[in-house]
Amino acid sequence: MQMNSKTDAQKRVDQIRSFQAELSIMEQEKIILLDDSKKSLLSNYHEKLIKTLSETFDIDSSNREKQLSLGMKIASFLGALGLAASVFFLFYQFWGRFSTNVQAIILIAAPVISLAATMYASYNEKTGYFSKLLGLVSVACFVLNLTMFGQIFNITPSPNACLVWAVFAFALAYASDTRLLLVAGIICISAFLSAKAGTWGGMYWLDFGERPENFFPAAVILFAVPFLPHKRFSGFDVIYRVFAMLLMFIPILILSNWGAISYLNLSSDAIEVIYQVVGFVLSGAAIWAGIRKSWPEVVNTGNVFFTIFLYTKFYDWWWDWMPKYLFFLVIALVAILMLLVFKRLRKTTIQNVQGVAA
Amino acid sequence: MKKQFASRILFIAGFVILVLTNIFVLSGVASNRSGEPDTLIVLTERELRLKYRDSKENSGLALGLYWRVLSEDGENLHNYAYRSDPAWLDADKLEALGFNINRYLAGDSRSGIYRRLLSKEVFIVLENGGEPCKESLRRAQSAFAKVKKAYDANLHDEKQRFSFERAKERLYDEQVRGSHLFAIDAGLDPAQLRKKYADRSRFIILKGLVRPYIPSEKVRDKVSGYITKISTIRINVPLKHRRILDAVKADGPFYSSGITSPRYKVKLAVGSRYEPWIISVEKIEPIQ
Repeated sequence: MQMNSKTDAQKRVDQIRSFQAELSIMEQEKIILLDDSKKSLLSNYHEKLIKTLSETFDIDSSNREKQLSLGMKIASFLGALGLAASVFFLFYQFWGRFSTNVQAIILIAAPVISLAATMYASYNEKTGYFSKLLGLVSVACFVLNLTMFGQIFNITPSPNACLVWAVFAFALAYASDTRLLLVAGIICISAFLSAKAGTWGGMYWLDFGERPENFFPAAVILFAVPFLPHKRFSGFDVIYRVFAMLLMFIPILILSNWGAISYLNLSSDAIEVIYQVVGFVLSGAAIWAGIRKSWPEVVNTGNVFFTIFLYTKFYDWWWDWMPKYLFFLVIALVAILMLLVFKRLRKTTIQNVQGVAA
Repeated sequence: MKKQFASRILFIAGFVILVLTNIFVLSGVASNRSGEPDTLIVLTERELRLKYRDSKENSGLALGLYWRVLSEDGENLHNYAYRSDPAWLDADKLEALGFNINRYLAGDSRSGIYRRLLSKEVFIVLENGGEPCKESLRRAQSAFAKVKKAYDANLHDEKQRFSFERAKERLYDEQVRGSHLFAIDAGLDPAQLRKKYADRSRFIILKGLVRPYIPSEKVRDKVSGYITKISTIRINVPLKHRRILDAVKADGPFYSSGITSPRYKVKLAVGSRYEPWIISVEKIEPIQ
């Protein structure tokens, strides 16, 4: 079996550990008894496999390692954010004391040096925590580079800055297999695409947030990206899909409550009704597609937004005229109803699986 | 091995992006500043002001461009940058700037039609010390004369005294501190605007945002526009020009009592990409 990413390797190791635990229970209950030679064959095979995977992917081979690893991930994330913010404030603190030429040299050199450090760390440090941390600092330095050039040379703001930041963050994310950098890239590219959609709609690019529909093209493009092969990268497809759904559902939620800010040349009420229907249909479709394609993140995000759309409507319809105890009772009853629907769906899925197995 | 090779290529791509972007940005700056500037103007502390309060965390220094508009309302004397609606920015001008006013008027107004009107980037002409500036002073003088007459007739009326003090303060502001820079026109073609306003030492052309505004009634005559902002409103002060401004900053803000005239003048240039920069800063001796 070929391992493409750290996630795949970790899954395989977890599978081995579960198998070993189950085998031990079965042996205790005398359901199966392996002789010593088979036991040693199996054990050798697993140990060898785990060793190879550990060397290649730096996976956690025990629960204790997993807990420590989580701690390191959190520390690395906080360290990266802290260091990136520190770079910003450090420059702001001193830049006024330098001549324009020195300012320009520092601003160009900072992302170049931090990128070189990221590259070095990526090849020389197996765990990848330092390369991820430095990668984010490198993106922060590049953002600082262009932002400060804008201030120093009084340049008119342009959406193209978001595009180059996005391309840079994506290059680093794919080079170092870092989800945090992927998120940075997704945020920048979403801002660029939404700003472009805004300018095509006739508005000034920085005002793109005034028409929530501007986010839809970015949402569609981001949802389509993981259809390209992404197996080599840990959890990238999940992040693309979750962000795409947020960029789709949050604007729909806003428009379903505030139709006046839509591009559609209809009355506000009509726009709100249209987006309420679209919200229900799309979140329902997301749940269906998520179950069909085994995308748990799509099912969960769809579920969250379906519930929000539903409760927002309940609030609109009943909050003012219903006694509060009745309103919350309705909410509870709907939750129970949804629970029953999901239980039924789960039962059907189990029956289907059993049918296939038989 | 294949993964490592792909990763190496991506890191190299990162370096290429950094280098190319910086070359592109700096060549843009060079192109803006090469050749004859579109505007070469001298402004004073009235028009280019230091920030009232500085951030301790930011050692940089920038001057804020203070500009005004002359509104239709004769009493309105303090139309500074925020949401300024100049008299000349009417329905016809907005249509010339590419806004489809009739479409807006035909739309639904139930939930506040003005929210559907979007800002557009255009070129704004700012005049330094022209007719709008004189008119603004005339308005302040006339308002003061009117209020003074009423106050003189009734010296014990508290309300009249308050109005008198306010009008006096406004007139003093207009004479001593008010910006002489007024937005006087807007257009889509900067070359045409420059042809119309040929004096490069009096008229500045900068990018800015304009937005239509429909007051309560949906009547075409009532449609007007306002300038939401000038794109490059803060102008960075390079280290070589800081000496005088740092000294001025130490003396307190322009609005402090005892400061009766602008303390510095700035030679400002605007380049081919309509981005400004400071050529020089000179001290002005106080008028006794």
